[in-house]
Amino acid sequence: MIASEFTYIAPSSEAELAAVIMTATPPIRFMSGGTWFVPLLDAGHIDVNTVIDLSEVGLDHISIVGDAITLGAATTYASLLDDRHIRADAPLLSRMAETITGGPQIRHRGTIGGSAVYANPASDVPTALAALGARLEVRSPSGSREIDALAFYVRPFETQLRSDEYLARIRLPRLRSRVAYRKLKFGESSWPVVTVGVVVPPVGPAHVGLGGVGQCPIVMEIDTAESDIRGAAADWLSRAEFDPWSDHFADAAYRLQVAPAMIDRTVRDALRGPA
Amino acid sequence: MSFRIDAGSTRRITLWVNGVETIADVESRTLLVDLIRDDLRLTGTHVGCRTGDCGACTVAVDGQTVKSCLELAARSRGRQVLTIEGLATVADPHPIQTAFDAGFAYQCGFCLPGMLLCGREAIEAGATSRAEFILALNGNLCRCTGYANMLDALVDLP
Repeated sequence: MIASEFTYIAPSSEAELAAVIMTATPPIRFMSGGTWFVPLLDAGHIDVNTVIDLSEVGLDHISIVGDAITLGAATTYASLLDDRHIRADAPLLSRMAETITGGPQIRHRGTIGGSAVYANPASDVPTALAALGARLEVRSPSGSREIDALAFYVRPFETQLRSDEYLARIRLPRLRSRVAYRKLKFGESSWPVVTVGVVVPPVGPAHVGLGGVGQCPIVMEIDTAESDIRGAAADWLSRAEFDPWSDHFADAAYRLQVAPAMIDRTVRDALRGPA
Repeated sequence: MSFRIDAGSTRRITLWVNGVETIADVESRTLLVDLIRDDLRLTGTHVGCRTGDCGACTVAVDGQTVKSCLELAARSRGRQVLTIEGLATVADPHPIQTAFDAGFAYQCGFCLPGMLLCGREAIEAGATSRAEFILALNGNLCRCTGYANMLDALVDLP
């Protein structure tokens, strides 16, 4: 049993959800898959009176209309892996979902939106969304707004979400791009140290998302004709202004040191892949 | 209609545990693993970490493996929960159990709920290769055997 008491509400539609948010006793917190939220709640790290469960609201659909892909925020990693449209039109998300730490049990429950709002610098989702140029639809009882994924992240474990707002949907451009995803971690069950997601569009430079190096996701462009990708990435990082991230797995200097090699390998993976 | 449990109160829920209709009074803060072990006394589901790392508390909910320390019990209302006790019987063990036994695939057995339920799920999904079984088992920690014999047992399953 979790030590602290809280009220649990699981709405079954977005209309009900809006009514629940307006009447709930604050502080309120939203949960989706629960894979990071429940252990933090169990450990007493979350100050909450009302837990609002988003898993039954109906935000677990993947739809493709024209050139836009829309993912419900409660879409699980397993659903991303199973969806042939995602494999064809947003393959970076499939590659990312394959690498999620924690086994099938986590892939069945963990959601793309839950990881996006956790804003853990070591997590996979924020950087993948930033690399893809995703836009995040956040809603509250008073309306909705769309935020660019890169601008969504304020600092570690903090996003632009206000206390009555939840992440509802994620929108991505449908791109026939070559992609690759890599992460550096020291053990199968360990958190990653550095994550790299690369999207190479049919024309123009590669979009490189870099996680675990800064406090928020970093996105850079790399010319795919460049012969020294590692040097170009190191040069870009030396000029960029960002707040470095460090944790007990690795300090900031180590992350900065390994990032150019990780970027080099991942860009080359993408360039070798099918268009 | 929203489902709700107020702080400090309990609510009666119905779920099916190993095929048996089960009625339980749960609080919002009751974890599924606590319901299974403390209330239903099905102690084959183990608690190693309560952080989602070890996999010893694995059960299947509506056919999908989950870590029951990461589940609020309230979410299991109306659902089918399979615990390790429901996998097979002592007289008629599951083929994976027989293979693990024959292949020296475990020592202390603490991790077996996760290893066996995830192995079964992978086999039912059609997995046959070592790479597929690594992906199936990689949410479970074993501190005795080093995994190799488990993977051998699954790959060699008749």
